[in-house]
Amino acid sequence: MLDENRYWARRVRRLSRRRFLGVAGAGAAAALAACGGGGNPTKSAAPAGGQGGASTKQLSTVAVGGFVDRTGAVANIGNLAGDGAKDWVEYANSVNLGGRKVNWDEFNHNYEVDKAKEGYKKFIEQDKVSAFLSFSTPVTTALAPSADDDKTPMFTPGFGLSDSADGKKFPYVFVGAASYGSQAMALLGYVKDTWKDSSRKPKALYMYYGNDAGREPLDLIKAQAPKLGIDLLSTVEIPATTTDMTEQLADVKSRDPDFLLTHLFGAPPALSMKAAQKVGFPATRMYSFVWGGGQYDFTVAGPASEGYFNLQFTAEPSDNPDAYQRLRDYWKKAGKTEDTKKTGDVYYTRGVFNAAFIVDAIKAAGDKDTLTGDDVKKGLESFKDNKLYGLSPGITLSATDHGGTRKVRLYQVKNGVNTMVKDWFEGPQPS
Amino acid sequence: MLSSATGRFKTSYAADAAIQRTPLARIAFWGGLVVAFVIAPQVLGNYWLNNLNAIWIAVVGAVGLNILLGYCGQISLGQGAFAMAGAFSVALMYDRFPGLRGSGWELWVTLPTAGAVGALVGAVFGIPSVRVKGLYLAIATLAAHPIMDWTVLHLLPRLTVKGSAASSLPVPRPTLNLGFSSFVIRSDADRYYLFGFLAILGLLFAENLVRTRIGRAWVAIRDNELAAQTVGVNLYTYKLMAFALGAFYAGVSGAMVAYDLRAVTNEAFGVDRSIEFLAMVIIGGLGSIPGPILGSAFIVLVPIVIRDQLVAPLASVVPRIATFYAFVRDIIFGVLIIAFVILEPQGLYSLWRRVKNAFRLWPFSY
Repeated sequence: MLDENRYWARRVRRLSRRRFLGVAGAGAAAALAACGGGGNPTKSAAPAGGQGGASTKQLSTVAVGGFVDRTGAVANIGNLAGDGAKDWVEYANSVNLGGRKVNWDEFNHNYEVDKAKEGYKKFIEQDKVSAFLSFSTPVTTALAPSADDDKTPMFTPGFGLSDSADGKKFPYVFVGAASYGSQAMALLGYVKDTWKDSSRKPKALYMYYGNDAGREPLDLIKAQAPKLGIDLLSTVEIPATTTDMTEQLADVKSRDPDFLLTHLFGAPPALSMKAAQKVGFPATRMYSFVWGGGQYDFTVAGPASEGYFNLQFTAEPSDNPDAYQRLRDYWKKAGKTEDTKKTGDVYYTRGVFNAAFIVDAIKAAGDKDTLTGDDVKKGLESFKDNKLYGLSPGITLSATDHGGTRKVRLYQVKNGVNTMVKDWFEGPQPS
Repeated sequence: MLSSATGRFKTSYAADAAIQRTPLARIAFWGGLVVAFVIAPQVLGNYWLNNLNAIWIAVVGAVGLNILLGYCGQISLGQGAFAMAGAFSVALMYDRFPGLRGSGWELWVTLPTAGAVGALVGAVFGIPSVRVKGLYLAIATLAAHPIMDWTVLHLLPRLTVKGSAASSLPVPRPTLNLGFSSFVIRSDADRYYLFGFLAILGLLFAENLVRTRIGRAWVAIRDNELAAQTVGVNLYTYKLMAFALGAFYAGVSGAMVAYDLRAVTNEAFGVDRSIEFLAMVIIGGLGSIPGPILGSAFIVLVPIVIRDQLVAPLASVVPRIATFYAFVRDIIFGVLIIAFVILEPQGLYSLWRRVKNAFRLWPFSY
């Protein structure tokens, strides 16, 4: 008995407060030191880095907020997009592309609305941003009313609410690239155009991620598919936490659609391709929305991605757009090496697109010394066929139209390379 | 006046059951109210008002969970789901009854309804508590989340006027008509007053309730169910009552979230929220009324303080620390919670009480 007490007394003493705090402090210090060393050569886009170009009048720096998900459900997209945006802002600051220095402020909201609200308040109150990039459709839905209240433009290229293309409903939300509704109509239009068999209607099935983003075009697809002569067999919801989609793809195979439209992102696109190969559903019948077609997904799926169709709203890295050329020239001058694993993925390109869109908006906002959200809004609404250095088909915005463009490109994975099948096209207007 | 070191001698039942037992406590309470509602909104900027709003919202939910867990001893991981029910009921009422918008009495209708819907859902998920205890009850209440998710997703198209498939609904700014004046609750400061009022009201109600027969029955159930039964406490009734009341608070907390964000989406009420409520109650101190306040303040403010005071100043010294912090934020949080449970198992409130006692007993340390 006494020995037992001594045994435990010794152990309890080991857990003494001082020791615990000492170990915790040492661990924290080690962790901090670890994050300092290593990492890729591109620096974080602080305004101190990169000299300003030869501008006659030094306008004050503008702060721009960017939600970037480095952890969470779409970390694969967020990490690359965040790096792309940072690199472009660094380049833009070095050649004074925006007319003034842009201070790019990143915030990770982990695909959660709570943290996004916190970050939004930080952007508005502490960093006093003049515009910010949203990330994730549920967050966009939650923050759109606040952005209107605080008069700060919010960018949602290629995601968000299809309704926000109407500039009157959401005066401070700007899409700038094909929204989910436009992507859906483009795919439905493509189905209708390429279906050659006149004996029966084409059968389509819509598979989507189980959250607001996936459900966004659901009503539109259900309403428009019969009008275009497409037989919508059913719609399948994929739970966000799924780790294996064999069951859903087996069900799809039994229904035998001619076109499987998938609106997935994060881990599910690769899972869908692998499951399709497992059950024997041809990847050539799969058509993915924009967020399911990055090099990351093809690498994870491996040979199962062969023949997979995917939509893009920016140029692919293999198209060598002007933006990439500029970045490469800048890196050569600065003596940095390009990380081709990152730049070769279209999610990185989309990060560059996001940053280029915002920087051009800052430029268009004018010569006032401090920019308000309204200035940026007016600048944006003056965009006329802005091709964003080869990345976009041409963004045209106005006070009533915040959509920018409805065009998408269709690519297919051929011999492991994502090749363009159809250049910029748009689907029919919903009737 | 300053201390009751020689003992507290009460001469009336009212004095015995009073919430503030010494004049100092009364001064502290009213002084705290003045600081919180008169001084703070003038001094603090929108950023901190918004953080305090988040704390008020969390306090309401945490007080509910404290009633359930701290006083009645039933573990519940479903507070977030009950909050979701309350939030969606608010959005649905605005959707179905457009006459509610802009009418001065909408808050009188939506807030109690949100609480009532939450209470109903909570009572349903509290039914297993009669047969199931402890860890197993925690898992049974965890089921509330997927069930409520599915219900909201499939019921929403049938209940909304447009019948759309989207799982998010907008919520307009509420108008409050107080008889002598009517105003729209628009800014962070307006919301601060509303949420603060609701939180204080909820706290006072809970504090009074646990001093009644019902509160004593709950404590009896928590301490020893068998003994409580033999003394004549109806377990079923009181456990369901605890669930219903805890979920009422959660429903009101969800309604506050709805008014804060002005949009309701089921993504905002995941299991994370339930776990956060649990952490607030445990860190703050189970079975005490100030406990949830301290716990909510801790859980809401610690990530913000770490980011603003620790990471941001270091960003120029240690490269890429902001990115690194994004990855370790949850780890740091979890480590802090574990540290608290090990070093201060009775919560921040017991820490506070020890500090108070040290001053009271000074220079003696016992």
